[in-house]
Amino acid sequence: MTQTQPQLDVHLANRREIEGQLPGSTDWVSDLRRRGLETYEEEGWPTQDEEAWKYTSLQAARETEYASPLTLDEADVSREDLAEFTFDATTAQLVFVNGRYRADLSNLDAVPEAATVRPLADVLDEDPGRVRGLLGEYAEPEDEPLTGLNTANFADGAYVEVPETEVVEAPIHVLYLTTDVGEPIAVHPRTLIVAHESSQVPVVETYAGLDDVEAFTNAVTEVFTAKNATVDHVKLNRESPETIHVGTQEFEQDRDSVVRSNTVTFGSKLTRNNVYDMLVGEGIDANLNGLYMGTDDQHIDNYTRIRHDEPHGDSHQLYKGILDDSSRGVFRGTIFVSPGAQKTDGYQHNPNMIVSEDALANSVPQLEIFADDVKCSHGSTTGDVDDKWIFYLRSRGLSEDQARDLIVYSFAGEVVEDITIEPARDTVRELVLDNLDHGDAVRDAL
Amino acid sequence: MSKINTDTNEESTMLEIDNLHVSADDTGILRGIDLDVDGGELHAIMGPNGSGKSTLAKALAGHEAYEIDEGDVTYKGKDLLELEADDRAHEGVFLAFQYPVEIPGVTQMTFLRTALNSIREANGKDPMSAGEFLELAREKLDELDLPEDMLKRSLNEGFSGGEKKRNEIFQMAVLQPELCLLDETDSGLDIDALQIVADGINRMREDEDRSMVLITHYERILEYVEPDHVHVMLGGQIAKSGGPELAEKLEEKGYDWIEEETGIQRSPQQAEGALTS
Ligand SMILES: Nc1ncnc2c1ncn2[C@@H]1O[C@H](COP(=O)(O)OP(=O)(O)OP(=O)(O)O)[C@@H](O)[C@H]1O
Ligand SMILES: [Mg+2]
Repeated sequence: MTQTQPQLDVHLANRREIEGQLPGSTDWVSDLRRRGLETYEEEGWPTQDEEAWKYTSLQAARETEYASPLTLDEADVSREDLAEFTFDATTAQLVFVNGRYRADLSNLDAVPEAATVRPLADVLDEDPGRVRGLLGEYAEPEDEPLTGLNTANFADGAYVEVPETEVVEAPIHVLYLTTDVGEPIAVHPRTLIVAHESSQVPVVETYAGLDDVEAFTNAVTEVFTAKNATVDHVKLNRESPETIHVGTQEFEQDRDSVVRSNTVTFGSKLTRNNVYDMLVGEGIDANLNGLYMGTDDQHIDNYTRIRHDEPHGDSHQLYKGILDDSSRGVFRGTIFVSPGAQKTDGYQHNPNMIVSEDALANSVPQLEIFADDVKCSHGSTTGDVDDKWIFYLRSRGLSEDQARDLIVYSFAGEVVEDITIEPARDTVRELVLDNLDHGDAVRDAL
Repeated sequence: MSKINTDTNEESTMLEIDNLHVSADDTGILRGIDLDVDGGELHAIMGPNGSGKSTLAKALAGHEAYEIDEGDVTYKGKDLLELEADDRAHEGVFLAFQYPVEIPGVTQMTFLRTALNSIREANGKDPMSAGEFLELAREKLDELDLPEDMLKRSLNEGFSGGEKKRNEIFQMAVLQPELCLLDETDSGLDIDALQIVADGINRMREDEDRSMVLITHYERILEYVEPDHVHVMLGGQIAKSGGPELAEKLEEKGYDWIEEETGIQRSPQQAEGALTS
């Protein structure tokens, strides 16, 4: 894209305003940010002319006059305000409100000693060497313009690092919250997760909005899973219905590592999840599932790309969509298999359940295979709730609404019940039920 | 058990079908069914493929695809045709499907407990807890020689043909309906499974008020489950009724002789001609 940016791109203008406040004045960090800025300036805003954005227009996020919350006062948020988004009090938790870390709302006491869980801004200011060669390494500034923009503008985010052989059992929760400050705001949260050799860590990222905040969230998460390490990860979108959310997750996995990730979307009026995984060693296991539940006129786009570079890699993607009202779901996924990646086992499936006549699903699963000894399958299905199912259940005494909701709930169940992080699984299950018209009737039967 | 003169025993009439005409997709299928089922009776309905047996069962269960063109159905003194499918279930009507559907992801445990509790609720009873339900379900599974993991599995998904049929009987045993419509529950069962299903049906018959309509192609099941009445459906009508001996005769001689004897033909189209000529 060589389109010229309008004179006053709001995100560049924001950057100019907050530049002095951004953490990380070391050369390499400045350099990283500069590369991000250049990418953004050169490549410009994504448009629907690009294949990757064919079904999703991000124009609104370009045209809205977002302010950077760093120029505003700290939001008045209490623990009670967060309660609906948090897990129990013993959970290690990092909370960011409108882009800023909030020690008063976080709970770092619960972090296991061996692990490092800190705001990234602190690390960049106090000990930047710690993340050198990691930050911006997996989600490179040049990867795409919005990753560039995040790299240029991010104010803070979570840094999670687990040393060799250390096993963290309880999940670490990172909560990125936006609140209504009277005008639209743009935030660029940045998360870096590093699991060293043979370590294990579960991390949940929740993106949430209070009130009907009108926000633009441009999040980037990079996750490095070293040899034989395991990362469980859930990204949960509970943004406000006025928010536009673009989230890019870039995983890189070394040999024999395991990633089990779920990208779950309930919130935002417009969501784009980019989920990328580079399998750069042998014997890798990548389980990248997703669930999205659209209501009203929500638009939810999941864009995945799994790249197998070495032999004996297993990747499994199950993205399930439930689309109600006039919502729209988009899934575009690619399994890429390099010539050397023999014995790859790749699976990608995108079933959609259309609950309302006005809802719509687009699905484009893709294989790009350059090795000859692989097993890859992909597919998608789109269907509504079958009348035969409804009649069967009604003939047993369920009301039509109960029957419908039980079917939808159960459809989601295949993804929900496979979420490996228990409190996240419980939360997602509850959110599915909350989103059903007669969820209580189903809840009673569970 | 056997009631020879059904007409005089008005109070115990559970189901009264009077001149029922049913169509689907604007095609007439049932063409004037008359059938009375008293409390405690078992009626077997036989008849060639396409004669309308399943249509009758589904129309009685409240399937919306089947249009009632004419006639009345009274069930326990109420107008059955006014009730929605779920209300009929609440009133004690149960259909064991000829082709039980597979519903992906819906676990049998959740589904059946929801069903039982909605029936209980409609009848002013407290819901059954998960524990109580599990106990009941285990007992019934055991009776039907079904594995307990059946409860955790998705409804009929990946079940063998025989398992699906036994599963219908299992659901019936849990829900304890008053009027059981069994649509070819005996088809496709091996001899052991047939025995198990027949035992299940006979256990249900121990309740003297419970009535059954058993649709079948085979006389075999009727050796285990003794019918009070046997009816033959042809071209959307009940062409002939009798006792168990009728089933034996059908097994031997097929349906042609009934066509000849009654002038009613198998397909509705032919029957149309026969009636108007
Ligand atoms: N929903 C429908 N729409 C249109 N035609 C239908 C429908 N259901 C049944 N029919 C037709 O009605 C006729 C009777 O079908 P039905 O299933 O009741 O027969 P049956 O006696 O149960 O046959 P079988 O012994 O094969 O089970 C058939 O010709 C069938 O094709
Ligand atoms: Mg039939």
